[in-house]
Amino acid sequence: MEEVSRSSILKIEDFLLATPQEAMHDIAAIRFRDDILRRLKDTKVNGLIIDLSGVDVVDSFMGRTIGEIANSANLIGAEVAMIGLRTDVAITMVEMGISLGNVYPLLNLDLALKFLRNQRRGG
Amino acid sequence: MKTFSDEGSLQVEIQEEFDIISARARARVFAEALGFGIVDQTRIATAVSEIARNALIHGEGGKMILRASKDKKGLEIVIVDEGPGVPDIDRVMGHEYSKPGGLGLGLAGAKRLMDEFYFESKPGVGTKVTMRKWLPSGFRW
Repeated sequence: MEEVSRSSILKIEDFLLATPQEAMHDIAAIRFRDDILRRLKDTKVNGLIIDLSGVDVVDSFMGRTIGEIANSANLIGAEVAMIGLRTDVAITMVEMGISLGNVYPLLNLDLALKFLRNQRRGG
Repeated sequence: MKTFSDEGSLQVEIQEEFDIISARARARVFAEALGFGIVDQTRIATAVSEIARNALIHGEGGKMILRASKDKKGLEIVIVDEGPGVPDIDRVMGHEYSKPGGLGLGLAGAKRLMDEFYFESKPGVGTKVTMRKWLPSGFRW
């Protein structure tokens, strides 16, 4: 089944804002990961915000994919902030023992932007 | 493909990637209809996601059956496949397979999210996972 991707990767200030779509299957998740890393390289931004407000299930695969995005982004020079995690999803992740790697969770976009401005690598 | 039977059960085929999304979406709606709150709906959808993926990847596809539990008030989910089966469940649930990406992390995680969890597997026959979640006590239909 072919789906129209509603995931988006937008530039905001010197950062990228990545918003995965609600129902992302495994292949789409991997494609999203690769798109983000390519865009990070191409746009030469130094921060990434992952907005999970539209994601209603983070299972072990999705958790691993988000972790891979964060750790890879970190390695190529970008700090990673995460916003929008739903409380029911957070509770479920904690119960399952899923952690997301080098992401910095923040309450909202304002705080994420503030955080990234202060984290800028190379001044 | 889905079919409603007389008992109010729902069957969902798991034959391709997108079916994992369908299975967990169906389970969430079914759970909501039974009266489960949002956190339990998400626990159930997440457990279904894990087990449906196992059925697809390790079991060559299968199907999920959702039904309201007859004895206690709650939801019963059965996911079966006719794949190669798993020879030793203790090893699967244990350390060896519980690395990131391993079969065990998803199974152990799904088990923690549900109230009852049974894993049956026979080499050459297939795998059957039965999971149940009870409505909070005091809940009346």
